[in-house]
Amino acid sequence: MTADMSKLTGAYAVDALGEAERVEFEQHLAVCAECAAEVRELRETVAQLGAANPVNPPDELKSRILTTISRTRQDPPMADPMAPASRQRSDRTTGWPVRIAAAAAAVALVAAGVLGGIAWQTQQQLEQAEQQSDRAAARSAELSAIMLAADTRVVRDSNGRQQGAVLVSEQLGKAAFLGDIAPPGDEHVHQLWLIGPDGAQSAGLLEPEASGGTPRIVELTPQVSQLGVTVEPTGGSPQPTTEPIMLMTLRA
Amino acid sequence: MAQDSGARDRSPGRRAAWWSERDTTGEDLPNEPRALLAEIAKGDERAFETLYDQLAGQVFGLIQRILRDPAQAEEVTQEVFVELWRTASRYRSDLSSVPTWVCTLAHRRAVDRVRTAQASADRERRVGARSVGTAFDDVTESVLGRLEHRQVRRCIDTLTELQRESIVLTYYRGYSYRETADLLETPAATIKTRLRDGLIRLRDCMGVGG
Repeated sequence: MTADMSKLTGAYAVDALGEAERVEFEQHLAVCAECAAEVRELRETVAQLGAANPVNPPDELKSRILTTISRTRQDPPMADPMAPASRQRSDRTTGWPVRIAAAAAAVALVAAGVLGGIAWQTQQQLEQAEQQSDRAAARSAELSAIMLAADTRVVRDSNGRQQGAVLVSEQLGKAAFLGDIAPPGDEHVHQLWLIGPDGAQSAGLLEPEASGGTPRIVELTPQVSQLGVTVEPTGGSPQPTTEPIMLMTLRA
Repeated sequence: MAQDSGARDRSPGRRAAWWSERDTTGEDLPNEPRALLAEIAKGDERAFETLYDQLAGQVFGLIQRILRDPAQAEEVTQEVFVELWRTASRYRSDLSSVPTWVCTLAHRRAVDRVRTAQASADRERRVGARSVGTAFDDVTESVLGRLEHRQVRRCIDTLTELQRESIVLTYYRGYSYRETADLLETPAATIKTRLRDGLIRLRDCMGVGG
């Protein structure tokens, strides 16, 4: 297993791992300083491939970017874990939205926890923690946007121990899934599906440590009518192979 | 801060200096990427503009190569530079050079965009096996054929065909290694290994790390 994992440095450096494998490999990097050093060197190597053929972008892009950054607040050196959720949370919200705001804060707190353990971490891990924190912050902002959209509806599903809810905004064309799902067991994962008349499309795996409440944000195309969760073998499946343990109808 | 004219300086000497910044000899030059990023972290928009002028061509070139569509490439380039602005204070010079950091952000975002597009378009994977000839020739010509950087070109030529194909399809096309394995009709474990030993060979050829 370990010997096999250390061979993934190349695939990781070119962002060629599947989502589940990437998560697993990053966990491995935490305990394999040699792998982390190799990843760093291979990243430096592929960056030279990336830079070898420059193309000048249009000048309008530069003006657009300069305008955007002049209006964009910069992150502090260490992520401020409560900022995105608490700042945008509305006092008028009650019930589910509050719980979801809390979940967004929880996401940020997980990131903060990761950042808190930095002292003993390898440099590579630090980089990953920062990326995770960025992702968590982006997710919190996206979630807030969905919560605050004028047309947001909540669709719920309860099935024994499993509890889930989806916030749907047609205006944004987005939905946020929030589940409280019992762990899927060894060698299995929970996979989220967008279901429409043409069948199911994977919306990614639900990370096991995140089943307790990390919101998953998905884009809704006009065809999508339901959101489902199934138990699949580790790594996920191209199509569902089991009956959904959770099924939420978003559009009649 | 003294600044050059707005035009991107593309002389070999200048570019060599970006990549060799780990040597730190040029650390205090005002146009050195790491010094610029330190200013950007403090909110200096002029430093941002200078760094943009230095890196935009590389970032846009890479993203456009992966996405093909210029409009989407512009969107993703914007995302990358806004992320650079936003997270400048979290850059760690001991982890990577500034160009590598930015390139890593750019590659990841471009690949994310490709995969999202694939998922929503429910891409017909079987088509891939038929079109691999075209796909690869196209990439070989458009990417490797025009490489400006002679050292990169020379190092790529030291790779075996399978190493080169694996790296091109994953890095420049955004395929996962499993998709690459399907396309090349080669076991996934082999592609995984070729990616690693191919990149290690490139690393040694380019003299990275150590």
